[in-house]
Amino acid sequence: MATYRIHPGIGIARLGNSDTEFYLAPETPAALPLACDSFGNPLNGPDGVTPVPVKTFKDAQGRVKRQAARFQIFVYDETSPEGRPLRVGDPVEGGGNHGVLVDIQWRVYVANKKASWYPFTELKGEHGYAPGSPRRNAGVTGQDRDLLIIDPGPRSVNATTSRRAHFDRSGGIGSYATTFPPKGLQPFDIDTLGEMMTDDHGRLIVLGGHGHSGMDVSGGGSPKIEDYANTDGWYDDISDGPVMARLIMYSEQVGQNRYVDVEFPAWVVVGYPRFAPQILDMITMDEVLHDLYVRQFATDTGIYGMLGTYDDPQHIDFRDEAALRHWRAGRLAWNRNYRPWFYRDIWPILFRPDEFRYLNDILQQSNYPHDQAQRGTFDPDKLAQTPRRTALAGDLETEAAAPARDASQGEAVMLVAQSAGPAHRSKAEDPYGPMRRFLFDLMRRAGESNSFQVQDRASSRVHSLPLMPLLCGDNPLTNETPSKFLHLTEYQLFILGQWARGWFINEKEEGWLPTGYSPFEPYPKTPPTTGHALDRGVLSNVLGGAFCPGGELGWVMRNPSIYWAPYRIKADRSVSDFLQSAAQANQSQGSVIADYTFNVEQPLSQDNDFDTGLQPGDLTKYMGLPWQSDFNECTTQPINITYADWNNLYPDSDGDGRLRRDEKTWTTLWWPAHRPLQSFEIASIDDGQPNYVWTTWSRGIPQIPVGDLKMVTEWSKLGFIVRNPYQPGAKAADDLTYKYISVERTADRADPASEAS
Amino acid sequence: MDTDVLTVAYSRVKAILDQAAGDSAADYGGAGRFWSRGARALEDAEVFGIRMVAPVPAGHACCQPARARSDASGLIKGLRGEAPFDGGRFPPLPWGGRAVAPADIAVIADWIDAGCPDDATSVAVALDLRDPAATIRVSEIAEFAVSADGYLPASGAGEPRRRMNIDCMSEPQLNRLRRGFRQLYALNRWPEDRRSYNNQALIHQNHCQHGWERFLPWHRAYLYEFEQNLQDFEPGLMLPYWDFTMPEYRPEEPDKGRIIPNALKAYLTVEAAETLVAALDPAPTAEQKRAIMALAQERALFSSQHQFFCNLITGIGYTAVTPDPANANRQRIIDALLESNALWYPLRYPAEYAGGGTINQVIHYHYPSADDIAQILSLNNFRDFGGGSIYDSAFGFLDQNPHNTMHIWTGGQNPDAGQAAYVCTPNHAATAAPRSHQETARLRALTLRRNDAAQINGRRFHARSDLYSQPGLGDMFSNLTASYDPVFWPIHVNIDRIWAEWQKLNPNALPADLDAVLSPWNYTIRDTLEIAPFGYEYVRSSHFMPVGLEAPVSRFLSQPIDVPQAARSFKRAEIRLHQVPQLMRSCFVRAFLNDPGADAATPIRGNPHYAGYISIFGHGACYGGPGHCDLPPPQKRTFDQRERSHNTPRVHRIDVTAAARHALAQNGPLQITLVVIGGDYLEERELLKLEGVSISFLD
Repeated sequence: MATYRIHPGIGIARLGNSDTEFYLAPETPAALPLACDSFGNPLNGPDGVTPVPVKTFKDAQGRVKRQAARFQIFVYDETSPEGRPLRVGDPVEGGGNHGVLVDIQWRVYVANKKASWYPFTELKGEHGYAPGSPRRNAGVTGQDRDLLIIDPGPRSVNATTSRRAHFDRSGGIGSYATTFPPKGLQPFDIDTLGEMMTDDHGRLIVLGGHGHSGMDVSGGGSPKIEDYANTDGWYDDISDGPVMARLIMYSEQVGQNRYVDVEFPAWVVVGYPRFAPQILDMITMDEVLHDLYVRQFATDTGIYGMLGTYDDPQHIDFRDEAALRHWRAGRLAWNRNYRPWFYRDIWPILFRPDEFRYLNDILQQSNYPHDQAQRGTFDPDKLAQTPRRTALAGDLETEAAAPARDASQGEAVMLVAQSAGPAHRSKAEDPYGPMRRFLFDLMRRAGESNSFQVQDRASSRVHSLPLMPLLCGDNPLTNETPSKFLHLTEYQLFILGQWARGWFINEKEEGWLPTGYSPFEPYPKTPPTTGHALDRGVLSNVLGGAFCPGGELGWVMRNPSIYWAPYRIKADRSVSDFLQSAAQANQSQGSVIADYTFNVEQPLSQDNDFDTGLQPGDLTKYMGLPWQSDFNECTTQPINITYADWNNLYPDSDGDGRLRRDEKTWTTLWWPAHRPLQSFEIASIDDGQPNYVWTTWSRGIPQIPVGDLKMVTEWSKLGFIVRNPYQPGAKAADDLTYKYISVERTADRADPASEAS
Repeated sequence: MDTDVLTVAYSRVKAILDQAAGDSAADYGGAGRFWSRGARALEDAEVFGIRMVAPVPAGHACCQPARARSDASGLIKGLRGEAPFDGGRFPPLPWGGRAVAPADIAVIADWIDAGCPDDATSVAVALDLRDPAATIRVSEIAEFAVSADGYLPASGAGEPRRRMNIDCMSEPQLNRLRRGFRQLYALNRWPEDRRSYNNQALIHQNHCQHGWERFLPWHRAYLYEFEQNLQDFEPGLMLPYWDFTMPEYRPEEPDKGRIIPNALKAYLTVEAAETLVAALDPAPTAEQKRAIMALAQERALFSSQHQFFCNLITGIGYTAVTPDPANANRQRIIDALLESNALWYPLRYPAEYAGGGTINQVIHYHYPSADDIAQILSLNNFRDFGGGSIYDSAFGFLDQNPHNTMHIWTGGQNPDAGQAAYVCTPNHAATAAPRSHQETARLRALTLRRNDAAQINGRRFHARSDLYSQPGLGDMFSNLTASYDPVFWPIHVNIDRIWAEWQKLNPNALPADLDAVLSPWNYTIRDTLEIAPFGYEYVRSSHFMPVGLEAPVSRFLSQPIDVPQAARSFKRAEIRLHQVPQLMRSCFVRAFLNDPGADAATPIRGNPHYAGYISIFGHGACYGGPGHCDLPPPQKRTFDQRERSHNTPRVHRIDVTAAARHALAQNGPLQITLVVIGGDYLEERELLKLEGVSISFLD
């Protein structure tokens, strides 16, 4: 029996102020978006199948093109347990009918609930809001609060007769009574949250808004921004919501069309532009979710599971809450016999920090602490080397490994295994072992979020050095639930820990690497072939922390309550699904495109109901409003590191001169791959060879609320930072001095000649 | 195959692996070319902690699957690309080089299973697959028979009653059902008696819910209410279900299958046939009489009256009958058929459609298959499965097809309507004659607005005049008339059963409006979500053997039980010990199937007749005064609000699925032996009492 699922489970669109031009979201990590025509059909290379990356990120008028989220349907059956893309003309079955796929109907319902939600105050709300917590726009009360939600209503398209619809004020052909902010917002009105269409293969293309943010100034005055995440009166055109699909098949058996819906909705999220698309964040959203599913939902029990079961892993249903609770209460541990692969699992993590040197002064002007060259600490050839055994198999087996697999000895065994290390046969030759352990010891662990260093602790591992990654955490701002610095996910730390112990596989030694592999292009480049790979690939380009509130999405993504399946948001199906059931379409011999709207019993909710599921707007409402304010300010943060648990000290109240003199701060980066600070740009070109200048990326925009207001209009003029086409090749960073450069900065109209590239 | 000699040598294994590896320099985690250093080294080799050759399995060789050792070996898993060599932990073996052909993998597996011989030896392995023949001894104990009508005694308080598959029911069980229906038909003479069949059917006409989420809850209540009515006359009688996707119905070409359950078809009993033969005018010839009597003696079954009349005219040669409702001979025949089978209904034209076409061609609906039901069972929300909260927009799949389809399938279109004479075609499944677009549209519209086609006005349901009539459509075709036809019930019971199955798979998927009242009763949707309060469960087939509580039983031996063919493809089989009072001492009860001589000494390990056991915890001697440990009455006294008596009899269950499959594979009957065994592992003769034993086969 076949199951049909939409992938990616969470698709990412991005804002742009171009009216019509757009490109498709990248589906592999750190890849350029894909070029497409005005219907979202990908443009292919000379071979006719390989999609080509987008060439320019702005249209002829210098406006930022939007990024489309593309959704497609995969079929899972006996022949494809991993799923395969479904195409028009394929046989389909479901709901007791079978036939040939003749059309696909898609339904999308996005909304923006930011103005009605709670203000973003760091981690407050991650586990619920206290009763009476104030909302944004608290002066708006009663039924008027419904007007704070931008609700264009649902829209449907199909692949044949009705291929395009807009999330605009019109309500579409279903004449939905929409809710939009009042006209006259300053500086921009919001008249649409985007549009949807189908490409020639029936895939869904979803576009977000135009980056229009505006303040309701009907009370007088001019727009102003007072806070990095919350200013009352503002709206923006970010949105998110469920995506549903209905398969339309022609049944030869009865000579009529039959209808069946896919298993469960997917979700579209609109983010702001990805200005450095080829540089991965230190933690991606994919890594956050993968870690969550492994630890909370038992999705890889061979790696993290009950002691003693790794070789015969348990299988627990994702939605079997009782079994999962029982599992989580068990003796869970990471499988210390698991060997990650260096080039697949380990190096892609270690590779990232050095990339940030092209995005900020702090790293560009320093001594390259993450240098990957032969003299550097991050030379992949050295870090990849496994401990060598002096004797071959069969000799000198020690007893150390045997108890490592005996679960009855529990945690004690793990320590034995650790001290025995990988050399369970004889003494190992491991010249780079100390280097690996040094790098791993530098890693900040969970529980050390507020630690700059650990040198005065019994747990100290390294002398005087700050723990890594040296990036801001979820709350470096206030004294309530502070979380100053970022730490890698537990899964990432486990992988690196195994590596540090020498318990890993070097694919080069085993001959597993494809020919032509270079460690300086470490991310997979082949387009995903399975739905799961597509889910992960798309989210790998989304920021995975810190969440203050974050990039596209925030800490709500860490909440196990919002998932129906891995990479699939639990949707409130009363708003996500076609109003007319598929069986009704069978009965009445046709599915309606104008989704009935007479039955709206409740407006979109002001509250959460995770038991029922999420509604349109429920993911992005946690983010800053307008988005430009937080985006602008998330460059660096001076973090007070005097005392671990305190972000703010008040020596004055105590007349404490000693404390004032002892105060220490560290200027810490937020997430440079999502919010660059500086970049190279081409200053001039001589004889076809460019001259570069290292310069500030967003000029004249201070990192304070005044600058936030400027960013509302200036964001679309910023350059996109891409791999330097004048310096191609997969080489270590210091062989490519100008590896990434900013292009397409939109100059003043008065001086179009200086427009880049 | 009794003996097989394997003579694979290590050198062959090495050659295969050498060739596959080619010049690959893969390090195998330091093990290098682990296969090239001799048979013993290969047998001991580990790659990243995984044994390339699994250790010899523990336990006796006779109890191991044939390929246990090679299947568990990392080398074989790796060469096959099975986990952990599926690309997640490790790529398939060999690393570098090229894949090993399946035949060569089999060679290596043989070598492993032969004990990894080196070149100096070759090993002959004798595979002895002898079945331990059970010695059958003849029982000297009284055998218990299946109860006459197959139903549980009504005293089994607290036990759910069983709705069974109509195609698996015995003739006594079916006759009881027919008696129940006759009682309700008889009440039709009192039009104001709400229990009468017509008044019950009128509830559907006036209140039925279709096309939204009240469909399933409403009908669950309706079936229960009707069933209670039947039980007023036939205590313990349960409505059966019709699993219309069973192979007997050939869902892919249903007009060539059974069409409707045999129990509901037209047939003549001998008594009815005798009356009929005497009444027909002109009298049939002697030969025709014999032929008509033969119909009765052979219990010839007809899915519709048209089939019966055509057989009479073209097969038997008695032609003095026309489709005219006033035709006296036709009336006599319909009387006889109604007299013979209370579950047959004349205004039912199953599988008969205009122009002799099929349901697919004429109605554009298809008969539901087991695959269709599996697809519907896989739906994950109530709206898609059973309907949503919006009338006229939110049909559920179960409601649309199979439910609507089965109404149309059993209702059908009367081929005799408006005909002056019976038109009998030898091959009834002729292709549909081409029809005008207008006619096609009219027929298609029938599927959308089935009620519009119903004739209600002026009808006196279940009156003879009505049963003689010749309407265009069967009564099942429309909601307004459907439940006047007894076939309505088994279809809807099956729909209810599918819902109950789905509820087990989706315990949290609920209708939207749980508080909605299901008129004309006071149930809300919420009240219908569980079947337990309604006191029934679904089993494919069940056989109850009364024992009685009078004397203890040390061994229970059933008479051979004739398990119906249709019940033999069960998912689960279960023996139940009904109404077992508290026992003084603890005991085991072991169950054996088709091993009538089984006793406490019969081995259980490796014995395919051994079906399972239960242990019953002894209650010990009574510490109370007289009556303290008496059995409580089956029903509490009125106003006795105290908690359940500590001595309330229990029902014990033994899952016997595996043994029942084994026993029924021989195609014979089934015989149950229960042996009571005490703590000393000897037969316990003076302990177990019970009201009866049943075996049930579940879907």
